[in-house]
Amino acid sequence: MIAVTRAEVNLVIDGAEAAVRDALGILIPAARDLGLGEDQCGSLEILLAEVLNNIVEHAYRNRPGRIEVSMARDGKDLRLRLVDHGREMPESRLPDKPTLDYGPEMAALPEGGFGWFMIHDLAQDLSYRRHANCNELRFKVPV
Amino acid sequence: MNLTIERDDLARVIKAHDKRIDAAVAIQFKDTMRSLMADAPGRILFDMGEVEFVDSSGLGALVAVLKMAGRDQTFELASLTGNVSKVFRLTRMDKVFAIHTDTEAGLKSDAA
Repeated sequence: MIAVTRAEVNLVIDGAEAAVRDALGILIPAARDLGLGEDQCGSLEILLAEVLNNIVEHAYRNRPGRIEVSMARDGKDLRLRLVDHGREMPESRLPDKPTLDYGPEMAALPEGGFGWFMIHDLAQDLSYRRHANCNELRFKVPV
Repeated sequence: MNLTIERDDLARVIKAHDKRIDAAVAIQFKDTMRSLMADAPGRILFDMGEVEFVDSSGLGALVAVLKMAGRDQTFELASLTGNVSKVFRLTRMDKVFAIHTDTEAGLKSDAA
C-alpha cells in the first residue's frame, strides 16, 4: 500500500484561456491521486479555474508564462501553492470577498464578481504574497 | 460554440453541445445566443445537459444572456449537471434563474 503525498506540476502555458482547461485536466487527476474525494474534486476544479484564469488574464495578460503548482496532502487537507512570474496583484493584496446582492431588477444583475466570491468561498487559509518578482498564492481544501 | 435549436413549439429549446461554458468561449457564447434568441416568440429553454463545467465568465455570460430576453421572452435553464449546479448554488444564482430538472419538466411547467 502506498500513498502519494505530494505533487509538483510545472505548467508552461501559451497565454490562451483554453490553456486553463488543459491545466485542469492535469491538476484535478493529480489531486484525486492525493486522495481528494469526488465532490471535493468538483469544488477544486471550480476554485482552480478561477485562480488560473486570473493568472492567465491578469498576471500574464494572455502572454505565455509558467505556473508552478505544488499540492501536498496534510492530514485531512490538501494544501496548494501556485507561483507565477507575472504582474503583481493590484495593491499587492487579495481582493476582498465581493458581496453578491441580487435585487429585483434584472437589468441591474451583476455579470462579474463571481470569481473572487467563489475563490474566497471554497479556499481555506487563502494567502498571497509578492516575493522575488513572483506571485505566490496559497490555500487549502478539505479532502 | 455548438448551440442548436432542438424544438420551437411550446418553447424554443436551445441545446448546448459544448462541455464547458468558460472564459475561453464566453464571448462567442453570448454572440451565438443573441442570434438564436432574437426572433424567439416567447419562452426560451436552455438545455445544459451536456455542459459539465461553467466558470465565473460562463456564469456572467449566462446573466448577460438572461438580460437579452425581451419583454415577451423568458430565458430558463434545464438539466444542470453536478458541478454546474454547484456554481449556481454557491453564487445563489439558483435563486435568480428559473431552473428546471430537464426540458420536459420545463415545457410542462408554466412560464417562469
